[in-house]
Amino acid sequence: MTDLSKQLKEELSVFTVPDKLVEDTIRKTKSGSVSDATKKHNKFFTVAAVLALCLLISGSAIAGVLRYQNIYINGEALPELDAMKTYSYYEADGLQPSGTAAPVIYSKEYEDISELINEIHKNLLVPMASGAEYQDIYYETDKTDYEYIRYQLSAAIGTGRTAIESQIFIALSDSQIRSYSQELLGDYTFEKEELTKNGNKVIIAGSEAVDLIIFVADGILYQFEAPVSAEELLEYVNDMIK
Amino acid sequence: MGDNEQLLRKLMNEYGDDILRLCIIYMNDYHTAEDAWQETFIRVYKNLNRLSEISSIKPWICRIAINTCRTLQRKTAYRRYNELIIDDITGETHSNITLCENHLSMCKAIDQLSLKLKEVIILHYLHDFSVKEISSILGIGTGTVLVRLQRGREKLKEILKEDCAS
Repeated sequence: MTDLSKQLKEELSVFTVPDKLVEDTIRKTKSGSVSDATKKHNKFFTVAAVLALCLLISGSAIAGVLRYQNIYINGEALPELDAMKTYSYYEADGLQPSGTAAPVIYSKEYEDISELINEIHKNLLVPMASGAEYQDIYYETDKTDYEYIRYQLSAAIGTGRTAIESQIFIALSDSQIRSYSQELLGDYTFEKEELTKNGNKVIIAGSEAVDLIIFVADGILYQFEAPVSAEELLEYVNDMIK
Repeated sequence: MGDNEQLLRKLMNEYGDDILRLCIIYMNDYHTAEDAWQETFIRVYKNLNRLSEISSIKPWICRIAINTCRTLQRKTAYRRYNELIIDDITGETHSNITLCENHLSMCKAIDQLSLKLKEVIILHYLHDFSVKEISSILGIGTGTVLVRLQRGREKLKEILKEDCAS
């Protein structure tokens, strides 16, 4: 194992940045087209972006609330959660478009979770205690079908502080809920179902490094992941619920 | 050439290869890694005005690269590829290097780790970042970094042992 670093560096030393990539990147910074893939990959990215939208949140024409039931681990479908709801879209300030080619995704990074909540007009289940240490708050939307939020939070769980990775999915249209599908990547295994203190169904999964819980509360999907036990994570969620 | 363009070129020249290697091993696909690399440096460009506030540039760019890779994985409904297509690097059309070849065995082993373990192993063993620096880059505690490094090493031992036995 002492040679790990040396071997890894040797294996990857064959890869260097092609001049073409450098020039293409410079050109994009000048043209303002800041997020597309290289020209030859445009087709791939368009297809991939469409796929990603379908995978993130896709849906049905049934109005109101819809059942969320397409989470997979290694191809295994997990038990369904509570129903998701559609929410109205309110535009946040200063969103950055991913580019000019459709589908355009808009994103913004925040320093303060309260600012995000105020701008998108959603009552999110997030820790608001003073001193909550948020990092990398990232917001993304296509303005019509979904909103996605990701952040990290240093929180007191169990006997010490740990970093929790959180993801939130909000549906903006009925047509995007029906076949919401997500595959948990990595070496997770499904562990069990639980309920929050409000009675929301919770899926618990784990890997060798972290535990993860997913649930829907008030029609919004939440996912929390941290290197602590599932019980501690559930306690953390229950503490957030008023 | 503008000052910002010059600065961006300097950063790409200094850190570009390292960031590309990080993206390759993170994404396990050369073309997607190129996309992640480009997006990373476009984000760097957009934040050049913050450069004076940043005490250590490489960890900052690595953090942007990792966040970009995470986002791209989700956006593109990431699936693991079995091959690295490197036609752009070699100039040959669609010449493939498979991860199964012996000279890429460590990359292959690392690719079998979970993302959490992979991140710390890459940052520590490829980029020589300290535990404290990794903690800052990933926004996790140093204890968590240590645990993941330990688990990553143990897991790699298992993988390499199995590989040798087979």
